[in-house]
Amino acid sequence: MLIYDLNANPLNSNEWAFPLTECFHITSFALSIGLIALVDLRLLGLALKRTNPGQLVKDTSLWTLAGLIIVITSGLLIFSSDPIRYIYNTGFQFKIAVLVLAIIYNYTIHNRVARSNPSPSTAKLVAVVSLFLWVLVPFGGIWISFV
Amino acid sequence: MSVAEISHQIQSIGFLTYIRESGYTYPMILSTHLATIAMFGGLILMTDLRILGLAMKSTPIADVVKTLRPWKHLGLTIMVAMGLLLATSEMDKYYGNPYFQMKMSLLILVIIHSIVFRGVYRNPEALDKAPKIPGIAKAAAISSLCLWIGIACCGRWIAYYEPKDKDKPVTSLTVPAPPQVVATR
Repeated sequence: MLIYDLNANPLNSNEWAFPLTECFHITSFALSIGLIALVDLRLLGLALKRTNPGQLVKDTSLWTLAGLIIVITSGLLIFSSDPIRYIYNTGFQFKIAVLVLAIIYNYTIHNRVARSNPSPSTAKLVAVVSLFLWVLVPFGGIWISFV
Repeated sequence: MSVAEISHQIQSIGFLTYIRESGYTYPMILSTHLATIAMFGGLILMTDLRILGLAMKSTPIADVVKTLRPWKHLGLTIMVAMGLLLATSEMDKYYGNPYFQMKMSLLILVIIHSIVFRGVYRNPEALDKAPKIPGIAKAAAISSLCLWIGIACCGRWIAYYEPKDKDKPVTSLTVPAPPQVVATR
């Protein structure tokens, strides 16, 4: 049987480690989700109308990916501080389910539609679904502490 | 009246007491605060990265600054409104929290930032015409990045501050001692 000593995890023994990891988590999700929201604003026709949506996806993709990598890495570190508690937490289960869905949606339907000069109605539908999925992720995250 | 008493008066206002004691309203407000950080905080970061020439180079700076402005204002309004509810409903705990004080100071610096660099943001077309991004615009973008990341971090750290005994919130000091019952025969 695998025995994991929670106290050996620096996140549980160093008073700075946990909040600092959360700061990385927050800043990087602001970057990645914010950039996806930027593409959504464009798809909704609410900002940057002179830039092609496909071009916008291309221009933001590196920063979005960087943000996602940092947010997932810091998230895994936070998860490691108390895995059992998180696994059985309904807020966490919900958050991970929506996150996986949102990431798959983003890299399949969302980005493909943005690159393909969609009709305004298709673009709007795709953007609204994207915004909805991504808003649910931080909601699930906060719920972890309240369920 | 002391700061402690004023803070206690604030958080005793009816609907703020309701928020503090509610099961779901408080986390709903907190989640909304965080969701606006995700949606609109990213727009702030992106505008700064664009001014620095680090992202979205095929879009003119003027387009980024001008078309994102109303959305950033909307986000900021929701974020500040939710933040005010969160802070005032727990004013006893917040007023003496050094990270809260630091966060508020940084927000004042954001206002000063917008005044000092108003020339940069009011005339973004000039940045697109300039052969090289002027130093003042870079200074505006870098200081904005630092301020907002600092605000997010201070916000997170508020939860990790534990007051020493002498700084305990006023509520815990004013709990009346149980009356002494003296047994008499």
